[in-house]
Amino acid sequence: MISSQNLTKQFGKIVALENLSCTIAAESIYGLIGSNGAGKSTFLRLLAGIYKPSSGQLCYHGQEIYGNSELRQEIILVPDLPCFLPGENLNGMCKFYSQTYRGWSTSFYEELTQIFTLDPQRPLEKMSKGMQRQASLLLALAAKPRLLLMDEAFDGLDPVMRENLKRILAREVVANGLTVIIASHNLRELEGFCDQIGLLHEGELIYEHELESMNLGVYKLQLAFKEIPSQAKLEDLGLNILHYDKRGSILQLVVRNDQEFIESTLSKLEPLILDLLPLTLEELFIYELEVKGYAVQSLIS
Amino acid sequence: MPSKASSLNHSHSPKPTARYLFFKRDLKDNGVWLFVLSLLFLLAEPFILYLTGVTSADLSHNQLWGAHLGASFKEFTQDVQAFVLAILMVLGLAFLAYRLFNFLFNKEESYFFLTLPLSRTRLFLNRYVAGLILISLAFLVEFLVMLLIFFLPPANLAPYFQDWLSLRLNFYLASLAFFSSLVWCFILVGHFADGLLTALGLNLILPLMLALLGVFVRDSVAGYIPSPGENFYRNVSLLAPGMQLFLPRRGLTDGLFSLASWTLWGCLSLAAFRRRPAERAGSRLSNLPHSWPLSLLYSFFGGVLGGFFMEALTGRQTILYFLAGFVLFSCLAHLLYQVMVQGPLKGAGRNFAVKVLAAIILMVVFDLAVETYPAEAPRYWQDEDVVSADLELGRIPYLNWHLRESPVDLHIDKDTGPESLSALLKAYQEGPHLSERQGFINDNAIMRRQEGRRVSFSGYNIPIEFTRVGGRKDKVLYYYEDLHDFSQALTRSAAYQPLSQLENTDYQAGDRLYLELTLYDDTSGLDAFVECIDQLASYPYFQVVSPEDRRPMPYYEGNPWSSGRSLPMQVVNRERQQVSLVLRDREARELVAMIKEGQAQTSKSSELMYQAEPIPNSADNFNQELDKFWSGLDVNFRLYLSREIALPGLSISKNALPKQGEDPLDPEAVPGADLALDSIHLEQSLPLYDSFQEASQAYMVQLLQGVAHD
Repeated sequence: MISSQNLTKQFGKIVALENLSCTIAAESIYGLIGSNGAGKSTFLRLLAGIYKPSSGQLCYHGQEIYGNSELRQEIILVPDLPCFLPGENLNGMCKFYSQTYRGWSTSFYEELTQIFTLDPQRPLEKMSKGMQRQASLLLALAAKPRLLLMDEAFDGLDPVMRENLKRILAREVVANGLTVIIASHNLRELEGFCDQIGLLHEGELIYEHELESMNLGVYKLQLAFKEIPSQAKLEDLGLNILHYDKRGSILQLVVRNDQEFIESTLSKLEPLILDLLPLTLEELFIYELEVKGYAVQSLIS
Repeated sequence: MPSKASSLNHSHSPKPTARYLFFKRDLKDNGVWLFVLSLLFLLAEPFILYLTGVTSADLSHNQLWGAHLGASFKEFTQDVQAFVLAILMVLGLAFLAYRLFNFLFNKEESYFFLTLPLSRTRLFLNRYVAGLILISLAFLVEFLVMLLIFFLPPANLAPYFQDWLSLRLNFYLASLAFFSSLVWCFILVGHFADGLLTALGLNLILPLMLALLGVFVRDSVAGYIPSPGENFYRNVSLLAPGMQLFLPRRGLTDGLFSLASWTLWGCLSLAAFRRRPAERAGSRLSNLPHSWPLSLLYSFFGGVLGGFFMEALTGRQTILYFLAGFVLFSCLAHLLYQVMVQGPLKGAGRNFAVKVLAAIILMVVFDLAVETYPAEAPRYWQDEDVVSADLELGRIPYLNWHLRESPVDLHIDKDTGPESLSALLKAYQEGPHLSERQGFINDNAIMRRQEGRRVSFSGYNIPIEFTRVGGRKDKVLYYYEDLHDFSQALTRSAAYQPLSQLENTDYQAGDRLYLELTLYDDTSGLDAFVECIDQLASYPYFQVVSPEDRRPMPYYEGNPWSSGRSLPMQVVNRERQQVSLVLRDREARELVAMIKEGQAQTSKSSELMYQAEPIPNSADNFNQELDKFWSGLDVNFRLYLSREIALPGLSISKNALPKQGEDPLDPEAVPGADLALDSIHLEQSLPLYDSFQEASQAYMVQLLQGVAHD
């Protein structure tokens, strides 16, 4: 389990993370979203033991991460810009990792090599960005870490490879108790994949929720009326409106209520159309955070 | 999600870790650097030997290593090319340090290494030790090659092996210290350019500040400060190991300082690496607030260094040359700072070119002025109180100024010389003028006097006064060191004791003994004097008490600010430019008598006749050279042997040459003629310098034969 208490990281006068407190369950996939400069990479580097916290605590299974080289046997960071030993190919890196990480699995490495279809003899520096990222992920997974930190991990991967990766990660979480923290500025990438989501904005964790319970009771509705009721009128009827958008005779609503209650209440207003639409994770975030006063479009892309 | 076992308790079997992996990789990957360094160190070998003055000619003459130190260093500082190799060696080590620690400047690479399950100490040691081993291997290669050279014929340099080894070990330690200090600099900053600037500051600006501080303290504190030069150089070797590569030293003490320096920078590097924030990678010094003080600092000290460099390069120790160098190099330092820290700026190149042009014009104008109006030169480069004295010396003060910095030979004729010398030495030791001495440090009796801006030092038994004539104060410092070594050499050379027994020595008529004191404008003259004493001691009239005591003199750097470039007689031979002071029996007796009677003390002026000896390029043009030179000798010259010694001034001319039938030793028959003859004999008797000796011998024989025919 990862616990962060009032974690702050400053670079000179710039505060990258401020009083961040959170708990991330083990053997789960945690999605960390936020716009550029929100502090996602900083948080991952703190978790990887690269940065020293300016204040606060960051522990992995109760142990301080920074300065604990033994703990780094279990933590691997896949950075947004992959880095390898100069001049090495995949086999060379395999040899290096096998001597570096105690959990290294050569059989898993060979299996992953088949999936990712990389040439193990080709110098990594001469590979494309996507291939380098694949190689980086491959090596990280084969090292069998307990905590895998991925910074913009899906960038540069084609859709097929993304799905492959998601499947492998899910399998590792289930089968080997892997904990994955994946940072991204793209919510769609994380949809249907993460167990928990945290939204970072200007160094602060402004929203954190488990996805399974996240969309419970929140519905998006598309309605058409002869005369569109006002938001106040709808709220007087007992609807908990997260979003109200009137365009001509069409009204879009996002409400948090029981589905039956919504349908019965709105039916009384005799709508010409009443459609219950699926909510994307992105929309869910937008509507939830709008309520909290954030201009969400500026927080996530 | 289904739960699994605790993440900390691995079920995997232990595997070898990467503890030594980097180490092996670094050694393997840097094989080419091993070759480069080995090559550089091998190339550096003749450079080091050259720097310390060992040449095949020296060895063939069985002269002491230290005897040529000063001259070699003088040549070294004047020969800009000699710096190139030292700079290459420094760059070789710098790039090795860069290659091993460049991951510190790249964020991605730095983060990659820091996420590995290796402690920072281990990560640092892997790279650092790999670097040390590469340097050591390079030295080992060089050592093995040099071992063959030293012990195999025909060189057979075995007697010098110990000294060589001592020097090279110190050089090796200095290299390790320099490597460590560079690593520290690289760890301290986040960018290679900033690392180089920091290293530059550490190895050049810091010693310069130390030097300025040392000079300030030395000049501010009344009385004698023991060996300020030594203290300065040891501080340099401790704190600025890069300078040590330019100033290699030998000896246990200096080795210990280099060792301490290595330890210091190694430990500092480790501590800095362990504490280094990862986010420093890739950051620039320009990110610091108020970076203009750094720019100003670099410009200022770059300028000061440039001033010294320009003086050394041109041989003109003047404020104008210093200023020209200051302007030039401060601009260069500023430009370097701008480009390296702040990035290229628009118009910086043009501004720099204008400043460089101005500095060059300034130098050229001054140089032309000096060459055109030499008589005016002292006005510019000497302190006022000394200028007035110099201008009284003769009609060509410019010449005189240089002559005073030129070699002065003191010859003692065999008839009266030993006796005179013995008496002279005793008188100097016991004479009443010694009561004026302000203090004795120890038995070596080095004395420092300061009268206003005029500083003088006196040496053991033979007080020799040096007057600071402007330019850099370092000159005084070096002279002091010379005298210190000189007195030590005198003490142990066993020369004094045999000399004191001369009166009882029975020597043959016709034999001639000479004691030559050659004072160059750097350090080599005093060494030559000591050598000469050694040679003198090898004559049958002397006994060397302990021949095995003739070990090489202590190492010292010599005077890098030599001023011999514009010697008017340079066309003849700058190396052996001589002014001979001949003390024959009459003068010597008078001198001794004056000293004994205390007259010398009261005599203010001590003008001595001098005789300048041109060195022929060949026997053919010798006569022309001689005519040309002697025609301009109607100059009185004051020899600063001692302020207390006074002799009547004499003058000589070409007509002073002896004619057939005349007694060349009779000054009444031929006024001043004996001086020339003495010089002839001198050159025949002292086989110190082959080329000059051969040429002059041939000519003199011819000349005398011609005179005889006339």
